[in-house]
Amino acid sequence: MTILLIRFISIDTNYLKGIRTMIKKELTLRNNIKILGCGDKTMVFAHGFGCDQNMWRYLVPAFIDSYKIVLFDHVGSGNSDLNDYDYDKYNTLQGYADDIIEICQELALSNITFVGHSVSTMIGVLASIGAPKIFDNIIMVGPSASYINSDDYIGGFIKDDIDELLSSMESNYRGWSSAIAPAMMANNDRPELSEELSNRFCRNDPKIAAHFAKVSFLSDHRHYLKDVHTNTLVIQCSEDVIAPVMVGEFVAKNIKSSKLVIMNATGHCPHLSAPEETIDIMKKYLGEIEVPA
Amino acid sequence: MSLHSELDLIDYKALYNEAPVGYFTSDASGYIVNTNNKFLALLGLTREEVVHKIRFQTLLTMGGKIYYETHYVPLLQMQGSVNEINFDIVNADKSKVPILINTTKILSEDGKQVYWQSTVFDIIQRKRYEQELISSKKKAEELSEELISINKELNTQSDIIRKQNVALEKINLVKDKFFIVVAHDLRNPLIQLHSFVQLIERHADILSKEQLKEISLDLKSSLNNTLGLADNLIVWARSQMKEFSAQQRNVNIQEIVKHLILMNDDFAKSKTITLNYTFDSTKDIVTDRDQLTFILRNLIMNAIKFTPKNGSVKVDVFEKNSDTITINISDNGIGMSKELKESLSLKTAKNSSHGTMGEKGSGLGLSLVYEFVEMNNGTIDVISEKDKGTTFSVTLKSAEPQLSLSS
Repeated sequence: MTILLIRFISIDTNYLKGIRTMIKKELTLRNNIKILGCGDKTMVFAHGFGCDQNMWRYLVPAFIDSYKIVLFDHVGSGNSDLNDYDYDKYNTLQGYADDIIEICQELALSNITFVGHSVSTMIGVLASIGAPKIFDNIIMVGPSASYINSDDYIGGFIKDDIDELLSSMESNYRGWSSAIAPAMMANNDRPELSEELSNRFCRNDPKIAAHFAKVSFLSDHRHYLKDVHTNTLVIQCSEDVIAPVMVGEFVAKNIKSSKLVIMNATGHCPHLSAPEETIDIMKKYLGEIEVPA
Repeated sequence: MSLHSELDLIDYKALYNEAPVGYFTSDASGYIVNTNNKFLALLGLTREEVVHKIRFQTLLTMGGKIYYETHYVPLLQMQGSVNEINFDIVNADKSKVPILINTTKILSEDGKQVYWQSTVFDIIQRKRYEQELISSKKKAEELSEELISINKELNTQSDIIRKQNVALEKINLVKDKFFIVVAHDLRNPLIQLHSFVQLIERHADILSKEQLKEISLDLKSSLNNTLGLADNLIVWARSQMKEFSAQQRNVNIQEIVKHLILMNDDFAKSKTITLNYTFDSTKDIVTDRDQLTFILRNLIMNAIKFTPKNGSVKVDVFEKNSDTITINISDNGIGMSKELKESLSLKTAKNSSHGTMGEKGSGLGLSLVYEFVEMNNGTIDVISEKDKGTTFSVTLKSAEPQLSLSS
């Protein structure tokens, strides 16, 4: 009887393990998850609007020795499974935040350092409010809690600008959308093809990208900032059209335990244009480099 | 002079400046450090206004600036070059010039500085053509969507028509059958009438007064029956033409019952059936007067029809609930078969069945009774047992008891 029972239990756990790996596999495909390095601590990188996990390529090597690095593409971007793009779920950033919590839970991650760029900084805000225990630190690169100007707030844009962005995106997708897409699909089998193609990174489905743009740039997350209880570093470029300095200052001011660093670098992607400076700021914040008194 | 020596004569500086394509070089933060005349002409600005003073991205529309930061720069940083990106440049006249830009990352001679080398093509004509294409594509899409929705509409309509056709065919079939039944039913009393008249014609001399009286009584009851059938036919025809709507008002039920009992007295007497009524309520009923009369006349006549000699028919009016009046029409006649009982509420003309003295019915009356009860928001129930009798129970809304203002 006892033997039977034990046997039953062992079968049961194996079965559960099977399901667990199955889910992991599904999530891995859905978000194109890549895990690198094997440090004790974990760093999760979340790309912003317009690109995919490729944009972290200059930062990852600097942390790979001391961190387990988790890279992924938001559903609808990069090599994520586009079939999983649910226009209702991703009609707010909460859909993306739920994905991050799900990924962390499935991979049994805790005490993570979350590095988010642009719109992913607010996705990190929502995720940390939803599951604060998972997060040790949030590092925000070029954050903005609201892009649109209102009576008492300057976000940098008006709604018409976003429509202009959408038409700009449309005209730039047109060139390759139907003609080059098949070649793109064949990338894996015929790498020489992808070499011929310019602009081979950060290709996104036009319809999804337009939706993501609207959701990103028309959202307002200012009132969530006060609920963030995770230690936060705001990395702000000295000149950034998309997230001006005052916008970064607003974010830092409204998150309780936050630190603001203004970079010498300009633009919206310092992790690409000034990786050394970015790495230096991150390492200092994480206590990996002695900060001279 | 050889080709080689001709090429030696080319002034590269002039070639750069006068090239039919815009050139510019910018530093890592976007400041334009060198450019040619074509690009300056496109901007409508002088060299002094541009070089070291303007960053390329500031020339773009707001939407373009976002695209520049989220797409163009990341691509350039990752690939080292970007090709065929379309931006709108806002020139000195504040008008938008569509351009295609190709950019390559280059290093300064000492290898320390990063510069971006760009070529710019204005594509005003091409863009116009492109926009025309887009608008015709959009129009085509709209048209095809319109077509799809029209098609859908057509499909639903033809579906409706198909269903209506089926329903019409069904109704027609029922009517055909019904006409046969009615014609048959009308013919029978006429034959009876014919034989009565023949009897009087041939034997008038030998018939006693009592015999004549008896014959005329039979004749009268047969005529009554036929009249009832004709009345029902008229009512049915009107109901088929949807002429009826229930005109609900307060109706004195006692008056109607008494009148109907009186009307059917001869018919009952001809079968020596006792006809009684009781009233346990003085309330009025809220209903259509003519329809209620029709309902009760048919139920009372049916009861007499299907009750053998020396039987009894009873009408009881009472309050089952405080806001309704129930009228029971009971007989101790031949009762109904289970099938007949089940078919009652189907509201179609039924096959006729014979009364106990061969009276004819088309089944039309009962189907209208059910319809009218429903039209007056009432209910009708039937309890019937073969050879024991039948009770029809009609329940309708009662009127609020009226305060008598005048005597």
